[in-house]
Amino acid sequence: MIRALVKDNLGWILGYSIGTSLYIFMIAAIYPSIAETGLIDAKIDSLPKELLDIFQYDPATMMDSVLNILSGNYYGLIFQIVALLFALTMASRLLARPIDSGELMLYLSAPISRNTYVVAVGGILVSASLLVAGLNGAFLFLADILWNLDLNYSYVLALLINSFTLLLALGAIALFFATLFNESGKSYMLGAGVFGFMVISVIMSGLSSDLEWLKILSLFTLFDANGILKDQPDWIWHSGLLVLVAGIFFSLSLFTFKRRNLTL
Amino acid sequence: MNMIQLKNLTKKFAQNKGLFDVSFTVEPGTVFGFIGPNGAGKSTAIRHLMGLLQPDSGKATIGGYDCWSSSPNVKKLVGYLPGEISFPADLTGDDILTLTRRMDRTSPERENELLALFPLDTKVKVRKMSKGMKQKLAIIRCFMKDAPVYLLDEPTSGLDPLMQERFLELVLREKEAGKAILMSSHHFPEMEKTCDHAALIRNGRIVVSDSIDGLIASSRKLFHIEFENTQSAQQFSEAMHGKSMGTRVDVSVSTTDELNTLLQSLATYRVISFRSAPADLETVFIHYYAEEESV
Repeated sequence: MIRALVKDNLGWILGYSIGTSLYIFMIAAIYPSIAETGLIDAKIDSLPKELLDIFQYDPATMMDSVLNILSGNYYGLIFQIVALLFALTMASRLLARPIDSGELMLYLSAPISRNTYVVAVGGILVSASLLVAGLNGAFLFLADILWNLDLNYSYVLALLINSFTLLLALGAIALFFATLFNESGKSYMLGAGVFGFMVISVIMSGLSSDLEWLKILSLFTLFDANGILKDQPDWIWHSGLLVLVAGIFFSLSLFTFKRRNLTL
Repeated sequence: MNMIQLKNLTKKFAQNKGLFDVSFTVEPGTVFGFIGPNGAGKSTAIRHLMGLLQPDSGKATIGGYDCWSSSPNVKKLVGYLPGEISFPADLTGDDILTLTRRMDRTSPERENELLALFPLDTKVKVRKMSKGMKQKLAIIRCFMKDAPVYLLDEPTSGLDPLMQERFLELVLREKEAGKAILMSSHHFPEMEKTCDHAALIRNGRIVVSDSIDGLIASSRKLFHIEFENTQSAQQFSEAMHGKSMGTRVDVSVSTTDELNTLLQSLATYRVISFRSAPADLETVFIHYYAEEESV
């Protein structure tokens, strides 16, 4: 079953993994020239603080390493959007759409329980998240070999682990939403709505100190690339909390999917 | 022993749809025909047997296992052919058969035999397959499993006449091998050829259920009578509530009294020919479909 699921879903998994990795590779490739000219530093200094907050740029640690560029450029708003799309795609392709179209019957007509199927989907989620984070790391490593970027690998590892756990948590939540409905459109809308709200909460919290409390409503707060690069150890408990969230929502998915009436 | 059993099963959906107090049994070595208009509840009953729906009351069992609470045990005993064939578009026929071989632990000999019976290019991706090809793939997948029970939801839909004939031969062979088969269809001749018992479901309730012979014996008999002129035909048709077409009148009767009234009335006319139409399952059930349409 896992083999068939992987074959049917390899396209989008590779799309996210290779797409994000190439982006990182491209940023790493142009970093030496950015560092030399200092033009972007000046450009970013001229931008309003609120705008920098939205993209999670930290002017204090701006352009002195490729990881600082990535923390504001890729591991900021861009990664949040990538992560939420990844989670929605995963839940849609592996559960919501097969329920809606009846494709799920290919697996459920075999002598397996529904829990077995959800566990297999969980396995794909973990593997796909690992592949995205792992390939991102591998391309950074390759860039370091090619252009001698002087990377701090303890930071790289922390970024990769934290990003992996964020993908896992969002994926588990999207999976739970997919177990609630027989129509894929409804679970997609719910997932998009909740994740969209989380992104907006983070953006709004950066616009004014009065709205800073909005951060606590968003899981994206638990992935703080700038904090990692400032040597703050919070990413460890952030990652633990994200794994816990993933575990809770995955268990809820098992519970609800087992009891659902399916009109396959 | 009842291999397949639905016992007083009720499942209510919105707008008074669903199944209401439905009961039937299927024994090994028999084929049970499940007939009914679209949306009558045939697929809903089969979904209960596959453990996809939980009944509000009553129960569905296969081989003594409860279909909802012991679904994996039930599925070990069942080969299932869904009414709507939907396979992942990017998988090939080979991928799907390999998956079935591994998950259901089927024998390669049986698979090859079925592939010879229903020839299919298994290298083609599902997205490139026609309706008939997908149906053949689903049939092969279903029967690859040498299961004691088969649940077949409109199994011949999309098949050409030759493949339909081969399918019916396969069903008869499996019946002889002692399998319990539940088959839903709108195609009366194939039901008549294969089924031992049949039930008609309408608006979620079983309306008629009996052996095929019993159903045909109790059905309304249709007579075609040719009169000398149209005036006689019309007069007789009006008196007997028949259907006149020129000099011909079709009349149906269901009781001995009605038959005698018909013969007495006929004696007063000059009749050219008198033929009885062969009784078949269609005659038994078709008026239920007509009533459904008029609702």
